[in-house]
This record gives sequence, C-alpha cells and structure tokens, in this order.
Amino acid sequence: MIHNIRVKVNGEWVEACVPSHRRLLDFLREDLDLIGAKEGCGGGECGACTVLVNGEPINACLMLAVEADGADVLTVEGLGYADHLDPVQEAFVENSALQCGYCIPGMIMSAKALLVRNPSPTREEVVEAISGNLCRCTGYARIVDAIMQAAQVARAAESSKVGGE
Amino acid sequence: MLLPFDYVRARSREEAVDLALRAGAGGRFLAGGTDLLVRIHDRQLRPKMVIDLKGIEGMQAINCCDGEGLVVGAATPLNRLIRDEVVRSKYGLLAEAAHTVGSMQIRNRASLGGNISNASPAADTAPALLLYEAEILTWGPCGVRKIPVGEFFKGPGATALGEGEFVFKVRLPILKERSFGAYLKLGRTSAVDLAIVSVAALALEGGEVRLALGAVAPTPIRVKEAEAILRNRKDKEAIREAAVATRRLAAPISDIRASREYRLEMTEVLTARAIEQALAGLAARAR
Ligand SMILES: Cc1cc2nc3c(=O)[nH]c(=O)nc-3n(C[C@H](O)[C@H](O)[C@H](O)COP(=O)(O)OP(=O)(O)OC[C@H]3O[C@@H](n4cnc5c(N)ncnc54)[C@H](O)[C@@H]3O)c2cc1C
Ligand code: FES
Ligand code: FES
Repeated sequence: MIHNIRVKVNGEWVEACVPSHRRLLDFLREDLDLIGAKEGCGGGECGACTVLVNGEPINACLMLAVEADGADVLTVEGLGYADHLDPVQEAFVENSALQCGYCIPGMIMSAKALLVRNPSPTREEVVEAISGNLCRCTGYARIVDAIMQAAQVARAAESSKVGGE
Repeated sequence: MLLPFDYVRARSREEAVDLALRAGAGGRFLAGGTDLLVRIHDRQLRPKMVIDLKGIEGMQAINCCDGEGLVVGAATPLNRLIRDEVVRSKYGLLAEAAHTVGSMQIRNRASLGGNISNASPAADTAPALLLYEAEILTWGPCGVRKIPVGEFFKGPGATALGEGEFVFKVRLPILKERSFGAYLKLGRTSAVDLAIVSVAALALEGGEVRLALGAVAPTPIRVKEAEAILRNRKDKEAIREAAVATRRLAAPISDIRASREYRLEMTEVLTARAIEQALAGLAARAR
C-alpha cells in the first residue's frame, strides 16, 4: 500500500509517496538523503537513529514514515550547519565529546530535546536523558560535560538577551 | 528495512474492529510500535496488515476524577502519563513504574495499552495496575467489555482479548485513602533493560499493604496471601514474614537474564525493601 504524506522536515514541508512498511529512518536517509540519523541496532536499543518528532526524541527505526504524516521532524541536519552550529553541537566539538561519531547525531538530538524541556539539568538528568543512546567509544563522561556546558552557554545567552533589552 | 505489510489508520473503534476481523491472523494492532516493529524487524512476526489505533478518539486522552477515577486512553505514550500532575500525585506508583520502561525515546512512543497487551510477565506497568485494581476497558465485535486487570493476563504473551478486540482505555478507580507506592525493578543495567524481578508495594492509610510481582511467574501477579500478614502488623518481623511468603508464591523460570534461584532470592529481598519504602513514604506523607 502506498501513502501520500506531508511531513515538515527541518522546517520545510516535504510531500512524498511511501509504502506502508517504510520506516521513518529509511525515509529520512534514503528518500531525503538526510544521513545524520544512523541505524545501529534497528530495534530501539542504541538510539543512533534518534530524531525529534514534534519536539520529542524518538527512535526513527521504530516509527513508520506514514505515521509521521503531518508531523514536525527535526534531524541533526536541521539543528545547525558547519559555520553556524547549534550550541549543543559546539559544546560537543569543544569538549572533544566524540570519537568515531556514529552515536553523535542521536546523542545531540536527545541532548537538544532535554535542554528545550529543562534548561538547567543536573548531571543525573543528563545521564537519564541519554540513557537510550549508546556510545561504544567515549565512555560518556565528555558527552555529559558537553551537554552541561551547552546548557550553561544557552542560559548565559538567554539572560544576556533579557538583560540587553 | 521491514518486510512489506499494509498500514491502515483506523478512524473509529468500529473500523478498527472491522479491519482486524477481516485481516484475521494476518492483522496486528499498532500503538507505539516499540514492540511490534521490533518483532517485525526481527522477522518474528510477518503481519499482512497493521492497524494503527492512535487516530481513534479518546485513545490518547487522560481524564481524571469525575467519579470514575483515572481513565487513560490505551494509546497514551508513557511519557505523557509520567508528566501528568494528577497521575503523579494520586497514582504515583504507576508513574514511577512507567518511568522504568526502556529509554526516553521508547517512553515517548510506548503506550500503556501496548505494555499490557504484550502480556510480558515483565511488563513494568502491570504490577502497579494490579495494585490500583485497574479495569481494562476493551472494544470488540460485541462492543465494550470491562475486564479486571487480574483477569486480563492469561500467560506469557496471552491475554483475555478476543478476536478483533483491543484495549480502549484503562481505568484506575478512585483511591479514597492516602497512599504511597514503591516500585523496585532489578535489571542487568539501570536503563533499557527488562526486569529480572520487579516488586510493587502500595501502602494505604487504612492499614492495607498491597503487593505485586513482575517477571517471576507466567503473568504479573498480586500476592494477597503475603498482604494478609501485614494487615495488622507492620513491624520488622511481619515484613520479613511477608517477604518469605512472597517468595513462596513466586514461580520464576531460569533464562538468559537470571536463574530461578536468583530470582527467588531477589524476590524476597526486594519485597522487604519495597514494603519498607512504601510504609516510610506513607508515614512521611501523613506528617
Ligand atoms: C529498547 C526497548 C526497551 C524496552 N524496555 C521495556 C521495559 O523496560 N519495560 C517494559 O515493560 N517494556 C519494555 N519494552 C517493551 C515495549 O516498549 C513496551 O511494552 C511498550 O509499552 C509497548 O507499547 P507500544 O505502544 O509500543 O506497543 P506496540 O508495539 O504498538 O504493540 C505491542 C503489542 O500489543 C498490541 N497492541 C498495542 N496496543 C494495543 C491495544 N490498545 N489493544 C490491543 N492490542 C494492542 C500490538 O498488536 C502488539 O502485539 C522495551 C522495548 C524496547 C524496544
Ligand atoms: S537504530 Fe534505532 S535504536 Fe538502534
Ligand atoms: S563516538 Fe563512537 S559510538 Fe559514540
């Protein structure tokens, strides 16, 4: 069965025809060439495929593309680009919070969702927010450092904005 | 990549039942997909038709306290339940249990109805539902049925649901007394793992202590014989006796997660701990 869907991907509405069994992950990677989200396990365990749907992190390997009809999807590509990184991405770079990088797009999307919901997380809250994102390289400490720093930078930017007005 | 199937988003309860009856053994209901899509991916299941329940009115609603108690649409994602103020304050044990499921990503999709329809002996919301004496409201070819949660689970992977029938809502009756619950889940890791053993305890102001277990019997079970020991005594000795009785009522298997012996031992240890935590929490609340 083929479905005609409209999905807002990284701020732009996309119209497409997808078969019922197409996963959101394959739709993003193969149809839209957005290869930031990765397939690790294909079973909800690793989080490499994490994207935000209506602001909430989900496993794109466990959602059908047709289920995203009408939804707002944000992938790491929509967060920032090389000379205009999101504070979360910048903090990962500054803290060298990556090695092979396979887990990072998912990790960053989980972090982003956390900071939008909770701008001042504790270390424990950060660990909880990324507990569905496996990293086989870094040992997590720098990742948590990076997210804590991103939170701090975002808060500082916010308060200077308010102060300057 | 998944093997092909047809997806239909049901627009009404009647349509969902119709589709399911027509698809027969080849049909599967879909809520959050965190279990179904894994099984399709692993080729354990090859449905011909996947029937999405999320578009049915009321399937994702949380209503409370108009004399009915708490009524949760079966397709409500667990994170919505966990963040709901009423659930947190009045049915805290359910929020606590739901919070132990999988990861943030999983909880954003995984539904309450899917968690119980799986009928996994380790389903994390089941012990809490047993202790709140939930009623499972189903919709099927003959309309509504109300099934006490204690009669819903029939064995690993088996429920009381008939052909074409699905869980529509879950109702938790009003608790008139103040209560405090504790849910202790032992996994191999602290997140993203199923329970090896889980114990729920709910202490009520009137003196009742309710106990339920997960992952140590063919279904989640409530252990009323152990509860009876705590009816009039709540000292250390009574708690120990209740824990020993609970161990006797458990009937775990050995599998890749843990041996039968380890599960029995941990049932006793966690039961005593859960009772203590529930009683202490209730005492703090009363102050
Ligand atoms: C990585 C990972 C970790 C997990 N960790 C846990 C955990 O810690 N604890 C735990 O308990 N579970 C866990 N699970 C299992 C699963 O996520 C949960 O059981 C979840 O609640 C299932 O809900 P769902 O809405 O995603 O179900 P779905 O996948 O949509 O459906 C599950 C099954 O129930 C049927 N179904 C769904 N809704 C209904 C309904 N309303 N009426 C009738 N039938 C229905 C479907 O046909 C299917 O057979 C985990 C899964 C994964 C992938
Ligand atoms: S690929 Fe989706 S969780 Fe691993
Ligand atoms: S950096 Fe290699 S998996 Fe995380």
